[in-house]
Amino acid sequence: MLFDFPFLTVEEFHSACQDLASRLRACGSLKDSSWSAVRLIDQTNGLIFRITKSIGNVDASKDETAPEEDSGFLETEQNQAEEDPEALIRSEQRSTDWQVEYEIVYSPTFQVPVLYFALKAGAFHHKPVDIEMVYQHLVPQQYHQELKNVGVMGGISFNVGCMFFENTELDVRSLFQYNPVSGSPMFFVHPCNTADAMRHVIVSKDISPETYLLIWLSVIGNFIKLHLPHELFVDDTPVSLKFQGPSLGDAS
Amino acid sequence: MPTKMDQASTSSIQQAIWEGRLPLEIVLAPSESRVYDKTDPYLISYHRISYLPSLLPRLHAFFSSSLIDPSSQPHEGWFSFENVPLKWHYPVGLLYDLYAGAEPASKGGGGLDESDAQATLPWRLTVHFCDWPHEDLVQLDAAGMVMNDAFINSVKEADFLRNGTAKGIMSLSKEDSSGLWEAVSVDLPSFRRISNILLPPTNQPFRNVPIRIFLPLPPDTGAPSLKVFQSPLSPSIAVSNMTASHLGLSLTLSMARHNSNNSPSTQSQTVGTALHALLPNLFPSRRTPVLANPVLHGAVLPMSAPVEEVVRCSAYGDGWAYIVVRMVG
Repeated sequence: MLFDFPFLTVEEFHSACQDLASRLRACGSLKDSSWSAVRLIDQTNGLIFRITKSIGNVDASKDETAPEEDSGFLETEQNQAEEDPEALIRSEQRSTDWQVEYEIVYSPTFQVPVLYFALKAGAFHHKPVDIEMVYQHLVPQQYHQELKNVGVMGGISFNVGCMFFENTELDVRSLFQYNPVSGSPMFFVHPCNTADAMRHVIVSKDISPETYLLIWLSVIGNFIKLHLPHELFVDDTPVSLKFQGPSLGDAS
Repeated sequence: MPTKMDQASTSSIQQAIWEGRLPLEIVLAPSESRVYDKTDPYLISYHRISYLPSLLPRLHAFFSSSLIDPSSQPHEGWFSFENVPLKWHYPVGLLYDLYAGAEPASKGGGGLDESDAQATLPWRLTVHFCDWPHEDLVQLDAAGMVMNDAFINSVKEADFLRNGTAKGIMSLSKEDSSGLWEAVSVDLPSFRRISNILLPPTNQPFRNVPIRIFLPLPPDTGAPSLKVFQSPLSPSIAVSNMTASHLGLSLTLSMARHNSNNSPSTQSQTVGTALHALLPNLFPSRRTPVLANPVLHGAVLPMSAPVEEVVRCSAYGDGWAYIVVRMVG
């Protein structure tokens, strides 16, 4: 039962993140998923639910400069990740693999979760990651044309109104901005119409914050290749994505 | 609503804020200069509500003869203060209040007298045209679209808070939405015209008030050196404990300041009630600053000021009031 559906309060967001983290911990390793690490990070400015995904060595085919230079930076990061006792899931990675870091944070303005993401090049890749690479590696082919039509540099806009609902345009914009919690520059999917989208996708507000978060993730993540691992749905305590009817004595 | 500020005082406060200037002394990073630290500084009295990247073309021209790498472009420029890269999406006045205004300019007076701050003025910044700090700053583009987008994004957030939808900014014409950005700090009449399209009329209260509160943290506390507070902030609050909004305010009747225009069960959300709700340890009183002062545009805000009026007359160009918490003493 959510307090202010289709919005999420910050407390509900926190509990949703905690619950999802516990569920993932219970799943153990996600063998069939591309998720390589999941972490819940409590920062000065709020909670970050970070999902790291490996997308392999996308440089491999067309290589330009791959001399045996230092790969120190990335390897150090990986070592930290592997030794990190708080990491919920981990998997082996090669330092040449590219990674995507998805960070879910809470927007106190829009009162919904917001998805930030950054593409991290593998070792030996020396060009900065730009918007073209994001299009190429993170945006499914079917949305390419739509986003190319948007004039604003660095902006990705999907008009998916027709996909889910008839009357609401979900303007899923993604821009390069500062993640308000970590302060790092990242792309993000603009949350301004998220609440409307959730209102259309979820029929009843009688759901748990965690279910809200999972449904939100499956809607928004779809645009940038973030898919929920199916382990989440086959363990002993499956998340019910079925909509429950309103409970008796619903005060509101 | 409390005795509404008339249009004339709103305008005159807005005018004063638009005219607020900050003396800057900008030096070229010694490592990028042919004469190391002997480059002449660039001095300018700059609008507090302006953004630093707007200075880049003239800074690049000014320093071009000193640059070791003359092929760099103006939009590759970034600023630092005491080795901290400055987020260019904050207005320069806010950056100063965050990083340099050691003591608020005035204590309780609320004026714009900066005599106490003389020691830190002009504000000495360093400009760099190489080695963009990718971990800290979003990279700019030659056409200025990144800055424009960041600004409009912020305008959109403020609009969403005020109205509960983002339809206002979405319905703004393309000319007006770029006009708003172009008008910031240079063209008050144009800015007023466009922002009045977005602002709800004065007889229609905001849904929520776009305010962010910044608490600078000691530098050794790890990554982000600022704690930012934002919570749905209603322009009026219930007097009773029962429905005291998202903020969990518990106000006693004796604290309530009744206003004839208000319904009997609500009162204006003031700077004091908002700070007390968000930061009760730093603001134990709703009326008097005890441990810390709220600073906006270099001036201490009165605790009794209704937050909606603060935003209507003294928001930055993007519609937000960015209040910096400054410890007393």
